[in-house]
Amino acid sequence: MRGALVALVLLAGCTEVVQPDFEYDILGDADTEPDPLCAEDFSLCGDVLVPSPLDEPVRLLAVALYRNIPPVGPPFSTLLEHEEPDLPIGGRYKVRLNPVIDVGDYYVWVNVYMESGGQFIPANGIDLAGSTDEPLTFDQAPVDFGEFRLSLAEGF
Amino acid sequence: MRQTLFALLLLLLTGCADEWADYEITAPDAAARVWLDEEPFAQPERVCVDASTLDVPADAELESGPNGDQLCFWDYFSGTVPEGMSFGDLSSCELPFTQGPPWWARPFRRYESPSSLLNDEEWVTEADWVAAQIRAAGCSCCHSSVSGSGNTSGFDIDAPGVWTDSLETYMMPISSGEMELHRFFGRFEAEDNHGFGRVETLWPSTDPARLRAFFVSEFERREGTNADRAHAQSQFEALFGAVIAETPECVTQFEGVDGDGVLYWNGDDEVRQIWILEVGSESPGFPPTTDRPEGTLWTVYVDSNAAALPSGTVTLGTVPDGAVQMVPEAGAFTLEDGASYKVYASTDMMVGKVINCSFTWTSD
Repeated sequence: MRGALVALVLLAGCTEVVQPDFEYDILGDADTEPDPLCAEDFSLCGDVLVPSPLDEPVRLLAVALYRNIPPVGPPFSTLLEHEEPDLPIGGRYKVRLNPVIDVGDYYVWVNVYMESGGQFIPANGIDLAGSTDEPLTFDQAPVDFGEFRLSLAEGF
Repeated sequence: MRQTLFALLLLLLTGCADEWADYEITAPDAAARVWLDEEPFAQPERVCVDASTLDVPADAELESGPNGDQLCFWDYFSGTVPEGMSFGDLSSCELPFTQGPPWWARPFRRYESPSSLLNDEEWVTEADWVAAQIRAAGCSCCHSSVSGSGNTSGFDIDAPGVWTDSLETYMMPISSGEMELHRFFGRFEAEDNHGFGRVETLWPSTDPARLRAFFVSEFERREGTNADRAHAQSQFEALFGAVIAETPECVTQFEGVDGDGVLYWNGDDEVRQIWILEVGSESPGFPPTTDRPEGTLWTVYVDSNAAALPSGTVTLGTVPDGAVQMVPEAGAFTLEDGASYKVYASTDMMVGKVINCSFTWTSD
């Protein structure tokens, strides 16, 4: 149970999220055969590693582009909002989007809102979030962000 | 002795002093959430209240109404009531809620000032005055826990002790108006806003120099750094990212204006505002001053009680049902064959940009 693993320190208004010992990628490795869509112009591809275990249902998954992280304000562009997605717990959520027509340098950011989580911004210690380490250049050519992990949201 | 030890232990554990121990702001309730989350952006609305029902300062500007003097104000996040009054006493804050961020960020103590600061009469005078300035503005709907709005988010001018402790250090140059991008929040002229201007500072003020000096002083007191300034700048660039982004050419497979003048965009988002501008124009910010930037040729806003517009349903120059043409104020707009334009549209004011590109129109 994640609840047993998560320590939320709420003392006199100071909040700190302690990340539990999640497991990742227990369902297998990345695809060995590339997805042909990912070679097309305007494509955005990559794998988001979903932690295990999760102890409540997922309400919404959102993929967005931000100029700066951590995010403040609305994203530059929201690429995908998927209600009640069938997330592979401990596996890879494959982002395969086309067309992504935004131009510029952006971080790819993913929020996963849990049933008891936040709205618009992730709830610390409840929702999941993750992003690329660096901004990626979007110029209509295919973009592959590789992979990144989701972890408990903090700092919001 | 035991209590002192406990207090010291608490201080060591939490980094927070005792006066904040009981400070707890609750999240907005369901009624407030409707205005914050679901209601579309409300355009600035001038509201008048019978002055005889109010405790109005002697020098407040009143207007003649059908039943005598009335106090009028903009029920808008940058609107203000006369100095000495509280915005929350006149407004339910429902309309300003539609104009602010829908998310709630629990206010807490983000910095620890020495409690001895509260013995500094000059500091207390200035801090109280600045809080009163913000309390008179629509900004207080989301930043004043005594406003009664039920949505205090981010920071709180009514926080216990040193209320500025609820602000991060990087918020000081933002508040002082040092960041030029703050102009995209829009403003009213001071003479139309009970003497409160918003050119120099983030917060509307009757004395911008004094308000700026307070936040500059707070930044210095905390020994703020250029890294804090850079953080502030990056926060603004994130907030106004869509506005300051360059305008590329439309990717016509997915977005643009067809030969019949019909606007289409990528994805299934529906929009509430559409702008056609001269190429090279700034993108629109908040009303009332930056939502129709120089070079705006045609703008329509969907009424707040009407449905948003899907891609492929709007012919440029034709005002859709449920929408109002804002520019031009009179007359029509017609696309010219061979002319180039910039098009910008959003799911709502300052959120959800769905198209920002330039195109050269060719009729079918």
